[in-house]
Amino acid sequence: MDISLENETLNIYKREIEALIQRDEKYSLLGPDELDAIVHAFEFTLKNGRDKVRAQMLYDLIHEKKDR
Amino acid sequence: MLLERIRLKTFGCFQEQDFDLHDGINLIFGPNFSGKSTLVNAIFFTLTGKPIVPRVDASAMKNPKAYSGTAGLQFTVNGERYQLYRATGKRVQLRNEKERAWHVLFDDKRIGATELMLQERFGIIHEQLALTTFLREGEIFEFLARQSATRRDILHTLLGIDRLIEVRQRFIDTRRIAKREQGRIRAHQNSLRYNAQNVNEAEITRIEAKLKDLEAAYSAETSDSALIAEWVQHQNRLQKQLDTLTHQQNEALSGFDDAAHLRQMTATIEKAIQDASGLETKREQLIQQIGRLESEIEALTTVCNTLRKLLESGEQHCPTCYQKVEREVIQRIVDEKEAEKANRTEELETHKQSLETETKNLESRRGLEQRLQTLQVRSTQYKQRTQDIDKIQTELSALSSRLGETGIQQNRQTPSDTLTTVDKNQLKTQIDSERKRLDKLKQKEAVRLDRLGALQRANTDAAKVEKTLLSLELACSGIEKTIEALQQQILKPAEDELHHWIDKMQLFSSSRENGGQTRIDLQREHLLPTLNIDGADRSLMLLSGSEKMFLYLCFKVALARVLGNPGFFVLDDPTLHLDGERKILMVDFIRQLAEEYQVVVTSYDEDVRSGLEGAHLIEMTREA
Repeated sequence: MDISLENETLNIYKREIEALIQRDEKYSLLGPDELDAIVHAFEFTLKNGRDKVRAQMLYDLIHEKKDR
Repeated sequence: MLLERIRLKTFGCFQEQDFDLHDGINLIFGPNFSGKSTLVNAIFFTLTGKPIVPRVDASAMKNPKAYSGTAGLQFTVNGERYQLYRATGKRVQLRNEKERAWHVLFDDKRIGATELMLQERFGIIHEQLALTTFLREGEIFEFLARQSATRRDILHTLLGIDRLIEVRQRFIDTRRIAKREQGRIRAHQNSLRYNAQNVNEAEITRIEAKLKDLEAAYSAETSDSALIAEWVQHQNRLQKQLDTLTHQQNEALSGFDDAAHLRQMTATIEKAIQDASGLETKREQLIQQIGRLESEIEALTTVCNTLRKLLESGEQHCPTCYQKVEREVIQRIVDEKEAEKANRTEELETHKQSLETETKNLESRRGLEQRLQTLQVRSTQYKQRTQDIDKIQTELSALSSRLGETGIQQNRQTPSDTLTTVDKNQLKTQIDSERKRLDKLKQKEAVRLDRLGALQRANTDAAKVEKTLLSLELACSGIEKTIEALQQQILKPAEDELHHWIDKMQLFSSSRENGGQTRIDLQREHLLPTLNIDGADRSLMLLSGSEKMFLYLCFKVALARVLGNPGFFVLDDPTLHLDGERKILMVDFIRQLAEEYQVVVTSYDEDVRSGLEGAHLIEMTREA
């Protein structure tokens, strides 16, 4: 995936996530920190590849900003 | 990318040969088995490392007589000229022309590294190139026959969706782990909740209050009796001290009637000592006088003896001074001296007696002094004891009155005996029992509190995991939506482009002429165009061969528009099985395509050759 498509994908992803939060009541529990963390985790996994990403990493990515 | 030259060495049926290509249309023309498809294959192989015909091993592309074959391409990109060579043995070399000389930019045998280099430098992806740039013989039917899942995979590769799917799968894996963790935490929570519910706080408070009362009661009793015991002990101690002091006081007065007698005796002795002062001087004088008298007597004795010897010797003259010996005078002198000696001896005896007396007096005085010192000490002790006795007696009196108030007689032994031993023991037993119960409850409470702490931590973890699960669910949904958005974003313009080319090629014109409408959907069947003509779905399989060919070509061009095309099309015998009318349409299509792209076409058809007149012609023969 070239960089422009990767950036475009990231923008689309962020937009879609925001739309999902707006649309679905169950996601109201998640705040901006979690949103950022999800996008960060997505970007991280997209860039580093599936094999190099561990479940704990994603868990930490989702919580590190919240805990900071 | 503009292709300039195909270079072959022991590749296919060619030994070593170059084929120049021009901008616009390049027609590779020749009969069957003249090597047209080998050239197409050479371009595809050089760029992708794979033969254009699936399921053919790359090593099969070399010349059968050679150990290996090499295909090469010379091309320009953004004004830069490159040469790319690929051997059937996998080695790839990229060169760049600088100042009329070729410099090697890349030389590697690793497939991954080569693919990455070509993708990064020239945007070449095998699947994309195969789908949008090359039309090989029989490709249409093969594409139509492909499974939906295969086409979906191709689409995902083209749009980079396969990476997204990998990310989604990672999220799903993580979610599964988080779900498992949630189950574990929930079980832990339930266990902790059960243990944490056994609250003993009320019971602990009740026992603590009871214990406090019991201890207060016990303490009250034990503290009074202890105080009285202490008083009595102190009283006894004081009494003993008093007895000792009285004894010492009596000792100090021993030999005397009373203290006044002691004082009187002390005063008498003091006076006697005072009177006896000067005894040492007097005795000293007597000793000196005795010494002097003894010396004088000794001298007189010596003189008398000397003179008597002289008289008794019969000498006429003195042996020392040689004077004449006057015996009578000498006898008289001897007598005088003897008399003097007798006086001195008498005086000496008197003095000696006096000295003896004075020595005795002095010794008596020294005895008196010692006696005085003893009496003075005893007097001081007596005074001190008297004061101490007074003090102790005062204290004893106060203590006796206090004990009298509590009703304790001094002659009784210990106050604890006065307490009801039975009550005390009962209290003590009760306290011990309650304390044990309290200890047990407190231990239980400590465990409960510990579990409560663990429960709170587990609750925090549970909340975190719940948020993680929700986040991951959102992350997965987001990826699905992103895939849809990407497909929509890419395929919608592709559908529009396809419409444009269908119109251009006048496909399904009878429907349009009747005011009908053709709708195309590239998403529903993953790239396979689904047709809806005049409101009715129409299977591609039911289209005529030429319709399929044109629709597929239009589809390729449309995809090339939206996915990005290296800048050229390679069409291998596109007019195969087309009738005369359709051939003309195809030639027209190629010409229109050549307005924007470099086109490489192979054909053996004279109609195509004449139709593409003016194109750069590469004529092939079977001998070549």
